[in-house]
Amino acid sequence: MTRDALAAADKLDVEAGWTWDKSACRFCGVGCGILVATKEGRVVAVKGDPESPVNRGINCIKGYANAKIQYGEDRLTKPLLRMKNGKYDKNGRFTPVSWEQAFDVMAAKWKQYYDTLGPSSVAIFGSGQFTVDEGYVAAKLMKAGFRSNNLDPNARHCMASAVAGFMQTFGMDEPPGCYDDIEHADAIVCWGANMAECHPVLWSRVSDRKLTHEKTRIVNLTTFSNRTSDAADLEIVFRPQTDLAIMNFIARHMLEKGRVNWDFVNKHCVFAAGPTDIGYGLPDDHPLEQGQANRATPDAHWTISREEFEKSVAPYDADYVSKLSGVPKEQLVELAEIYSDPALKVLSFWTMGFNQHTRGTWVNEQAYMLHLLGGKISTPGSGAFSLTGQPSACGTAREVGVFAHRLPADMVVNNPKHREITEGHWKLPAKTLNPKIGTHAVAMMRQLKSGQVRFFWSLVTNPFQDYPNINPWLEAAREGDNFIVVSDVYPTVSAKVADLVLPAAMIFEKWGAYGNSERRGQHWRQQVKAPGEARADVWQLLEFSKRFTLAEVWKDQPLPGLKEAGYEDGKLPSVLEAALKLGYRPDQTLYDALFATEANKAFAWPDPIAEGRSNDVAERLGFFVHKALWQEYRKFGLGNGHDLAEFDTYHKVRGLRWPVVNGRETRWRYSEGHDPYVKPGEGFNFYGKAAKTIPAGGPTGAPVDLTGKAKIFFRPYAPPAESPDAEYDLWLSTGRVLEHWHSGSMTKRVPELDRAVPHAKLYMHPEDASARGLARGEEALLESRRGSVRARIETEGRNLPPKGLVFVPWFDENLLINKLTLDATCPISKQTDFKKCACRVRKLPA
Amino acid sequence: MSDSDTSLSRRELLSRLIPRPRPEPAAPSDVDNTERVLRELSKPISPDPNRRSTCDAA
Repeated sequence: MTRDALAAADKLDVEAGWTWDKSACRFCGVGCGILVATKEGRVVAVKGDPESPVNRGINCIKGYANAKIQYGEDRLTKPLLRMKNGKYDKNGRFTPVSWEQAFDVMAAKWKQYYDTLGPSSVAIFGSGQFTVDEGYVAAKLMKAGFRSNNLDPNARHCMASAVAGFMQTFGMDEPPGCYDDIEHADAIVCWGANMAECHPVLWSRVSDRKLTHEKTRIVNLTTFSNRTSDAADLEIVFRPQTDLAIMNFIARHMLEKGRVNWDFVNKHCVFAAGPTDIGYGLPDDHPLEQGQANRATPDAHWTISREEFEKSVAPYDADYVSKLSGVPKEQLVELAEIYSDPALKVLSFWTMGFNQHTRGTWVNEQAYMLHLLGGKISTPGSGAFSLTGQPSACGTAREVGVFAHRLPADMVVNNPKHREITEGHWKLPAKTLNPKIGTHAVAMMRQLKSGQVRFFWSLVTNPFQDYPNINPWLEAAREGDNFIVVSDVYPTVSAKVADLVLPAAMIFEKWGAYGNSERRGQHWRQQVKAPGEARADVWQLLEFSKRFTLAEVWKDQPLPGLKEAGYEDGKLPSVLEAALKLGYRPDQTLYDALFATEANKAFAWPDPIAEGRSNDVAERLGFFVHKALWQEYRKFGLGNGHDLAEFDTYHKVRGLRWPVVNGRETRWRYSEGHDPYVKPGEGFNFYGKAAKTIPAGGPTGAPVDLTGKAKIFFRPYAPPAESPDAEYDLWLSTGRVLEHWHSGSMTKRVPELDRAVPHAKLYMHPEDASARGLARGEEALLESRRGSVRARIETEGRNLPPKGLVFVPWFDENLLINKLTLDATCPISKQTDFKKCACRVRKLPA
Repeated sequence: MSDSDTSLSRRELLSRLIPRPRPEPAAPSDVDNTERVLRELSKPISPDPNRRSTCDAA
């Protein structure tokens, strides 16, 4: 068919009056570009963007549902407050109220706790689905406004271990490489990443590489057979947690066979190690935390010699690791040879199998260990790549600083210099920012239960389904002296336990930007209006900020634990006097002081970049909020390796990978010829600045400067926090399926996706089922020490666990598998291990 | 495949392979769905068979 004929065929009546515009997919971290069609105020269609370098015109089954996720029949369209006798009452029934009423009650409850208990009594739980502007406003409002670092995202559950691994190894967050590595790789190794279901479009690129370059090898390391195994040349099923040992076997093999790239290692790397008695992130009184001498400083580390490194990995021989992991020795050697062969370009991918791990930071660092030993990093086809699960876990949660310890551009709250830089950008009085790291996600729920956190505002996430071990948190929300606000688009589990539910706008109902796994920032314009009274999250945060004056928040604040930071213990001092000298007024609102500044209001609306499209937030607030905030935010990254382009630029391209210098994006960081920060002749320069001065030779050694170097960590095997035993005799692993995303709040509203997979199933080995008198299709009781659910057994199909392990997806609100999971975390990253706990399966009581 | 005026580039070919988009249903802004939402919110949270909890009924 000719081009003319196709063009004619395109002009079908069904598309009459449609307007197409570019946007980004709402779901995972791959960051597919999509085209959105609108007509008469409705999104009428979506399709993959052929111009997108990420997905090249295709979408996965969820991507095609981007339009329908907005149009579920139970979309939240009005603020709903629990009321009795016309007033707020925690035991009341949900009642529609105006936004004004909602904010009145919300501000009153915030002040009730904040004014007496201080900044540590309030918390915002954000999201890797926050747009960049939403995350930026949340971070600035909490940290500069309320002087509270109790802001953490659901990304803590998703990729915090990847962050810690990047920071400790390279001194800088996010992957050195990019998706282009796929088309250059000779071997692609998936570690705990079922890409075929969880990153399907990227998996199509891996499959394409395999099908068009027959020598390309795919390895799937997993704790159960899955769809990624279908295309694998080598499937390695290992016992949970033993990936730590397998990694060390590979390093030992490389050393033994003389396959370490010593030229690269000697020029660009140092060896490092840290304490091993660091606990499991469980509460202080938990038996597993007793005697863990270094649980307060799990991230400490120091340099070791090459000989010490070699001696450390020596015990991990094939016999030991095979016995520990259950992997045949010949498979271990076959895998090790892939990493050892200097002629092979190797690309390692991982996701939650690594990150959701009680030694998640360690196992991330071990991946870099292998790539650094071989010099297989930061060059086309060779890289170690942590895939993210959310559309802006990188672009927002990590880069903007939505974590309890972070500020924008990789800075942290407990570094005085970083606070000073941030106060400069934000024009704050000195010492406004709180130096104490805030409450991370898991601790946030524990503190909600204990009463330390009294006000909890969740936006763009579903924590009471997503968290581990949810029974105590559900009870805390309903029974505690607290106030729970949930901003969302559908009545989720979290909305059910809230005191106030705020209806939010969805992706195409607002302007926004996401940053994907490969550092690609992508912006989009508002396409349609939100239904009813639903409002963009950024508007909600900004409106809330109008309810507080500087006199209320920049005064002396009660805050324990400041002595270490050089403050008077128990008090965050007032900065009001210093603020007056800078021209602020005590009666100024946080909105006026932080957001509607003269500089920001100079970004007028309408703007030519809109090309006639609306912007409900800008129209309500009177200036181009998104552009103003982006231009303010990008100043943090300029000149320090996090360079972002101008706002308008992103609306003219299909995304750009940072650092963007002189208009050019960067595909391979730290590598000469690819990264503008690496000078000619350097070859490689691992220029990240974090943790680059550490003790030499041991924990008490003299500081050594590691500028420009990457660290090759030795990390030992450590047993899981909980393993099967006589009482609970099976491993429980949780995860995702292709058709649903996260807690299913959006995909369950799409009829086609819901019909395809209406319920989560209990995947188990048929012999494990029959040994318990159970059969495929039968409903059984699944229990752990923390909770129980009823689930229907599946012994066939996409997931085939080995004997001794069961797998249950977590998307189904009618099968809340997180009632069973354990809230143990990696002590360094504070990320939960959702992949391992002990459970049992039995027949339902008669 | 050439990229001349009369034949398709690979990128165009990919775009043609995409299923033809179909119109979507009306948005809920057309109707007041408050009762529907309140009904959903009043449904109990999936119960724990071994546990009696006040939060099981929202």
